[in-house]
Amino acid sequence: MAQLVMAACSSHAPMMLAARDSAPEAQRVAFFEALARLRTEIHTLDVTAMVVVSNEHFTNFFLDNFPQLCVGIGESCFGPVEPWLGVPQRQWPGRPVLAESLLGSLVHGGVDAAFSSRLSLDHGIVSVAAELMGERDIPVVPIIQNCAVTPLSPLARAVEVGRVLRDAIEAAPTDDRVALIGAGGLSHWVGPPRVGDIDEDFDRWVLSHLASGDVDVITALSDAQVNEAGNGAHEIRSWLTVAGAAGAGGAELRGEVLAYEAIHSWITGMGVIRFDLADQGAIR
Amino acid sequence: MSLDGLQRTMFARVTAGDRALAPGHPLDELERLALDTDDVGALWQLGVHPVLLNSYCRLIGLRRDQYRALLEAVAPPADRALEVPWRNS
Repeated sequence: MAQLVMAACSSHAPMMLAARDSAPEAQRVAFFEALARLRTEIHTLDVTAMVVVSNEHFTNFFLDNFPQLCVGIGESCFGPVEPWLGVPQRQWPGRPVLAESLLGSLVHGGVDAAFSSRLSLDHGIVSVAAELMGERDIPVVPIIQNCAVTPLSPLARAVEVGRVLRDAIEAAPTDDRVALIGAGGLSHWVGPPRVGDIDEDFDRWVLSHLASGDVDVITALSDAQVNEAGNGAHEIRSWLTVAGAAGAGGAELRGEVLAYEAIHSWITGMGVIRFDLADQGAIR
Repeated sequence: MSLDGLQRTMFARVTAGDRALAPGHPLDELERLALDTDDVGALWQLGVHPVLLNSYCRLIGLRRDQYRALLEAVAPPADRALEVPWRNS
């Protein structure tokens, strides 16, 4: 059976790669050092597949057909769709056996996920995955969430999806060592007049509650309240899904915030957190 | 109004990377004018989804500070009125 060996989240932003040096050096170094720590751990843990949960930016879906959740089950995914991102465009290998098993377990576990054998990847997944892989080419199972178009799935359901996803990973008939990665958020405005603002108080509040396992405090927020931290803040759903997986089955949820920087040139609150999976074997 | 046609046209242009791609959907006069003149403020007021508008602004070469100024001219940020827990903690 597959095993979840890492659960972590990172903000994403196209400018973190396309205009990396536009950030103040101290902020840039702090953020990328946190990702480098995760990259080292991914290698040490011998991760064989990355399940990356991230949001849709009208890359695969438009308003005529927009799922709340979609699992990529293809042999590979093209990406990044943005030729200017600073990452070579290519086919990113998938993990179809793992992906189809996850899909089946999600659906039978009460999560009516859509699926696609032909997803494309944009900065949402590529910017984080590329940094976490380094020179290795680790197969990616993308899970795309709706974090942009109303009606949005409730925050609490994002956590529940994570709980079911944890069971799905551990029921998969492969010997994969899986890193579950959330990529999105934190506060930012994508398109509205406040584009460029960052709500640092929101970001630190979310990170603090995730680190201490107080997920219910976050899921109690209304969409209107989340929107106060920007329409891009709805992407915390990806973080909540990973938190749900890390805290599934009665495990105590604890996380370590590896970095937080409000990087205005990237228009996003840039955070990195890793959840503690140690000593969960006996619980689960 | 044909917001659907407007957004489909913008989406097609973004996907193709071609800001001059001919509209494949019916547009009314205001929508056609907004596209023809790159009037971002008008596109916002017509109800274009912000994520799509963001991509479209990148397509037509507007820098973030430029389109923020254009949007603020037609839709100044609202005063913060909603209570949120992170401002009280």
